[in-house]
Amino acid sequence: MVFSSLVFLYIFLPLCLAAYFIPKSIRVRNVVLLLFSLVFYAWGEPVYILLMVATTAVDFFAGLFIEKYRGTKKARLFLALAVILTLSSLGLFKYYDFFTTAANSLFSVQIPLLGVALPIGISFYTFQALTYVVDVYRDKVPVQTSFYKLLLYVSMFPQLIAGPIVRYSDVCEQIEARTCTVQKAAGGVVRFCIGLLKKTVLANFAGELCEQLFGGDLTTLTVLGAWVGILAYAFQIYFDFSGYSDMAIGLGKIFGFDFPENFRYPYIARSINDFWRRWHITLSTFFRDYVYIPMGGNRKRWAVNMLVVWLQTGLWHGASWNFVLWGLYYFVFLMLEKLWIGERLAKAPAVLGHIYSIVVILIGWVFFYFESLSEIQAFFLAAFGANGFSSVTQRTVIVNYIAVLPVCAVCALPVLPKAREMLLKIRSEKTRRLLISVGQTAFSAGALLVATAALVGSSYNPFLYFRF
Amino acid sequence: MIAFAEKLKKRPAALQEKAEPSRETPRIYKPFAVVLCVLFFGALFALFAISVLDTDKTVSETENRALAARPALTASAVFDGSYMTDFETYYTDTFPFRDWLMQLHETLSDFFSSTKTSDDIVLVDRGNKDDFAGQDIDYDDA
Repeated sequence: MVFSSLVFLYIFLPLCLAAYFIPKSIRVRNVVLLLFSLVFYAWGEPVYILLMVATTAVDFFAGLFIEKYRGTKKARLFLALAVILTLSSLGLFKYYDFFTTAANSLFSVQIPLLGVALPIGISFYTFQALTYVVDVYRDKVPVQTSFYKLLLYVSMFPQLIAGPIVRYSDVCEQIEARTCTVQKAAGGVVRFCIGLLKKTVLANFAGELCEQLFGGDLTTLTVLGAWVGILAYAFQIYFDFSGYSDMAIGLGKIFGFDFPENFRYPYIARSINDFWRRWHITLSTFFRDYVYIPMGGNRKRWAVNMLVVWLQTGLWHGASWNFVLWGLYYFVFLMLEKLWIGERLAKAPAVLGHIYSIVVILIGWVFFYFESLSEIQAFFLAAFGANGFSSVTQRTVIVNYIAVLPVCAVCALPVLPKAREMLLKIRSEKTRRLLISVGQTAFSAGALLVATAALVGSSYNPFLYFRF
Repeated sequence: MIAFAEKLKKRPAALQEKAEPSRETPRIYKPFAVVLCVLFFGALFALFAISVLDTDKTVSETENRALAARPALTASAVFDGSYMTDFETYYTDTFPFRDWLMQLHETLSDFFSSTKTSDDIVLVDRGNKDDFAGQDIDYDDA
């Protein structure tokens, strides 16, 4: 199930809220949340739910054994076993066909492919399960002795299928005890509505514009069409993904959880390094703390460590060569900044940093959007003038959607923090709180209406991050 | 290991930094928080109740098409996932106030795009036919 669907909003969510808030005991609430999470997952993946439960079971038992043999070599053995088993489900379902195809063409052999569909959210929940078992080994978190609580952590529906990647250490205390207040819930509703609007309005319209330009024959794509199209895609993927994270964080708040932030206005970055501190934060910090630093971090072979991390980051986004290229592309720019232009960029006027970052990020999305090398090549030919500067059909498309890009651009800027700053300048505490109160209430009501209308009105509703 | 321990020490500090500005945000008044939650959750419950209780339309007048019917609940349909997809289509097709919400969406969409004159839409004379479901449209009639 996805959040931006009528079945979720008007059947699943009311039933879940009622079942969750009527009992007062946290144990009952945890069970309710677990059951609804399993239904939520099974709605989209009725069979692979077993895989998720099995993955959790592996890490659950490994956690118990690590605790039992703490300090001995056996603990290390169980950690290795758990990590290998957890990653092997990801490897089998996500990467087996990719590497087999590569091996087949490289050695001209005929190893058969699996041809299985990717289980929803597998890239997210395997990483979450790993943070548990690794942090138990590192003695950073207490071992979990009840299976259902660990399963609740892995399967919790707000963050199950598209992040943020919540670490066990982030929520282990909240699973045992958390406070639900009406003010926190109201904040959660507002956050959820922001995400819902980003997804149902901004991402979908930007997506339509992008699809209209890139959907046809790439040999008729013009310079104007190519750059407007990739800009539209940049907005689509940002609002789609960050909207989903907003909805996840908002829903978490309603149920009393605090999830980590996942985006901090990535398109205002002043360097690529800065961009990756703002884009999908929970993924890059996962790779930092669970791959880069254990490999030696900055102290030894840091360039090799970086390369490994960025190859993995690329492959995490999809088992396909274009994502490998995308990861390597960022590796090159991060190395460049670290070794050469980073300090100069910091001293240069801010506007230079912004322009440089936006151009690099936009070109990066080309490797992300087009999945075959021939399409990528066709795009770059088009973008640099092979098919002319503009054409009547592409101008018509762009004019039809003329309002999309400016509205998206404004919404991708930190307008809310600015609004908050302005609000704080108001002297009277009463006026401030009244403005916030009226504003948030009116916004939520309006957002729900507009989003519902959009969901009813358009069948065009794909979730981009569903593939991962 | 030392570098790792340092990193761990740094994490809470970084989190504090982030939490600082949001703490200053004026909090919503409690009565308004109640109103907001009642409005939002109330809307979810109300539409849920209406969608369960109302009789489902079978034909959309504005679109001239048959609407999806509730799929049959069978074990095989649940396991291959087709029940869920069909149910989503059915629920969207028969959602309360669907025509009104679609019109609202049309109005709002006009702000973003003006693609009404799409090639997919063929204008035909309805004549004395009730609807065109299942029939070939005869272009000569139009």
